[in-house]
Amino acid sequence: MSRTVKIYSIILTFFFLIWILIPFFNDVFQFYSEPTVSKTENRTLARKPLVNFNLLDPYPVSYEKYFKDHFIFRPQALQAHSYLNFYYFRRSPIPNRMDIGKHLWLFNGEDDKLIYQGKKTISNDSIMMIVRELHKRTLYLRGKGIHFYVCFAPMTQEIYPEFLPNNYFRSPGGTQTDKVIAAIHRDTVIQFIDLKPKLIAAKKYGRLYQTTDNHWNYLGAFFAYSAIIERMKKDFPVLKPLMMSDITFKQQIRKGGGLANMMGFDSILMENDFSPEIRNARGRLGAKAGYPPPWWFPYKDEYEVVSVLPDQNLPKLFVIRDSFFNFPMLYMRENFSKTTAIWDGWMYKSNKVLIEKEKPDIVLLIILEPLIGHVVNGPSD
Amino acid sequence: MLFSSLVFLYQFLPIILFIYYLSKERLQSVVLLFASLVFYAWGGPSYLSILIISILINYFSGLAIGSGEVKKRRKTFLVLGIILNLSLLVIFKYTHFFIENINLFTGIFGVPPVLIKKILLPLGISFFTFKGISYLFTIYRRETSAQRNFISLALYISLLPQLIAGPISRYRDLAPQLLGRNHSFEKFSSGIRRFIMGLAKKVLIATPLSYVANQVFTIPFEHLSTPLAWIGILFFALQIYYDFSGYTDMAIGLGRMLGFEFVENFNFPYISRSFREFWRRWHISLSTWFRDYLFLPIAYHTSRKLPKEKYLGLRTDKLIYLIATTITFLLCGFWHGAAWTFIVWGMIHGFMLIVEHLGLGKILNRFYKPFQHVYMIFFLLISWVFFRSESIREAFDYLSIMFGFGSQSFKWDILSDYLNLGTISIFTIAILGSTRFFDKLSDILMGWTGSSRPFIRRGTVNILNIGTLAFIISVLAISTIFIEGETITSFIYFKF
Repeated sequence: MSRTVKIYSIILTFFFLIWILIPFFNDVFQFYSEPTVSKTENRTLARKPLVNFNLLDPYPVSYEKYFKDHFIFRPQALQAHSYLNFYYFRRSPIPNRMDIGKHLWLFNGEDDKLIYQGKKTISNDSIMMIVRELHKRTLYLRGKGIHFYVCFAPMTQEIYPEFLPNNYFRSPGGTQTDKVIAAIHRDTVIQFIDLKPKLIAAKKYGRLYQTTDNHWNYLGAFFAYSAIIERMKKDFPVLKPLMMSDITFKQQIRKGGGLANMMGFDSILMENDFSPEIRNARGRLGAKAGYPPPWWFPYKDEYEVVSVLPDQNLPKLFVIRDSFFNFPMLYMRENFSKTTAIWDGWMYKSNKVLIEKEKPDIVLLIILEPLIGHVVNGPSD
Repeated sequence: MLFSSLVFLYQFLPIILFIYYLSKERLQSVVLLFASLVFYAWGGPSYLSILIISILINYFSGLAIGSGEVKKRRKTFLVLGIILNLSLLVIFKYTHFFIENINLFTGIFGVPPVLIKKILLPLGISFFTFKGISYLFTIYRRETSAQRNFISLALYISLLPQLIAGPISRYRDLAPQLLGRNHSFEKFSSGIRRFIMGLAKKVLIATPLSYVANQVFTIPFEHLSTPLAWIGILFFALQIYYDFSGYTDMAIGLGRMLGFEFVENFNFPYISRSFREFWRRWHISLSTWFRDYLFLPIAYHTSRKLPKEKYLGLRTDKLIYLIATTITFLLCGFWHGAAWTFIVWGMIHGFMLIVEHLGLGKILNRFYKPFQHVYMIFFLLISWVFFRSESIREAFDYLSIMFGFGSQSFKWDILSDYLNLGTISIFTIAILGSTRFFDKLSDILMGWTGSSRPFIRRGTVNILNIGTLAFIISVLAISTIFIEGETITSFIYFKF
């Protein structure tokens, strides 16, 4: 018996040592290394920190991050971890970055969640600065004979709170967006288009947001477009907004969006999407002026998007936008002789130089709700 | 550094084991001391100096106590050593608490508050301070002689496996092992098994239990319902047990890999039927420390000052128990954290012990055993509410919802957010594991190895060993998956 115990003790010791030595030797000899950027997580992996004997305290934390990011079994471990969490615990494997709601609706975490729950808010001073900045831009553009409109793209949480997990509560005192909108409403100059009530009212027509991504879909984008264009039509009666009857929304099953991809589940959680077909569509992509994007902006091809419509009676539109405008752009280009959309890396600057060159009739600023503060502060990274 | 971190498991541990076992026996303690200091410095290199100061205080105090022939002189050095040890603890752990409360009090009279910079709590300070005091008492009571070898004493105070969160081994138990240890494959592999089971307790049980407990405890009170509040505290009770006992298992297992044998710290505390029994089963090394170095000395000194039979109409022995228990559990609570919540937690335990001592214990013994368990768990859960809450106010709010005051109406569908296949199965395993269920199961399986038929006996032994091997390796692999994927929080007892 004792011989058997000894044999199994040796076997266990052997297996254990082999198991803990594989990652160790990999770290030393680098048999396998993760690339420097994790596409799934949409982030750069930690780099090996340098030892600074004058400032040792941060070193252990940085090293642990590096070791974790470059662990030999990392891809397999992350995949397995996602499966175990999703199927076994019915829980997001990355709870700080996304949440799984009812009927498998995925919700963006991080700032979106904190803002919705009122745990992140902006100061009254910052709200004042935002309003002052938008007021200033309105007056500047008005001086050039340009109409300036502002709108915020609401987070999924605001439009579909019924699909949030039960323990996910909206701030009882309102969110930072509510406060900014209230302050904008007190300003008599800024022309603000509130998309949230329009989208909530349009929910009866179908699902407006993607379930596996934080963006709206083409149907939601259509109602956002409608709200914007109807407001513009008051100042530009020449505009002929598309009606729902002008568009055929075809159902289309495609790979899951960004939130599903974060879990590595984009092939498992499919997106039941709408593919719009506009009857007698005339707008098409136009030639770019070639404005230089910021050097750090990852989507350089999308920095400047131009579309044209062969009707010079229609006004020219200039849009300062983010990824949410990808969807309504399809409809918007049917109404303007030229649409120039600039995605300036979530900075939402006034882009005066470009506007001077483009000489639009209308400037539209469309901002994803949690990024409102960028109007004055710019992105944090 | 966490035992349950990738860096520890896959870098620090192989390096330490490799160097330790390649070193000559007389150098192994030096290697281990160096490893312990690096391990500690990993949690914040700046705080290494505090550990070294603690080692120096205890080394010289121990020599001074040991060299004293006269009891009074030894006592003076003992008191001095204890004061120095406690000074470190008070400065780094309790300064903020005292200043905050003084500010609150003086604020009433309009005195401007005293502001001080934030002092970070050095890891394990409560544990290594108590080890140091235990050493000084051991020398004072002449249970062993003072340690003249600085390396050995430094190793006792800073011993890697128990440096951050115990067990608080007594010097007399560890002293012989500091000089030399026995190593064998059997001991090493039993250390591996214990370590991995501890890892699983932390990563695969305590962490999933924390999913539910943390969610419930972050629900705003206006949205919390009575059933959810009970679910939250039940999950927390199991979480803290698996978190801490998991750490202890890892410490004991790591100790065995390095040739040590440490005292056990837990003995199925949740099967207790009274608070007296609970404290014989929960954090044993701490409860015996308090018993030997606080409770008994207080009881002894009080007994010398009180009349033998009665005092103020109370039996003296009861009064002595009351005084000693109150002080011990007040300080036991305070040891756990510099907050009123921990003090109240300690006082609840002290109060329950006193009540049991004064007669409730005898009454309870007459009851049906399951009722005794219900009594114990009920009051224990109430005490855990204070332990888990950020403030007394929060604890009372939570308790009021537990008892149906101000709670939200409960909807059954909400349960699905908390209780699913994963959390229910982990909860069930956790409940069974907190009883002797798996021990008994193991006894049954081992019983088959005693069969009179050699074929069955050998077959069973091999199947059990292969099964154990596969189980241990699988548990290690799954734990690694969770460590890579999760942000594993530090052990709850690390902050004490």
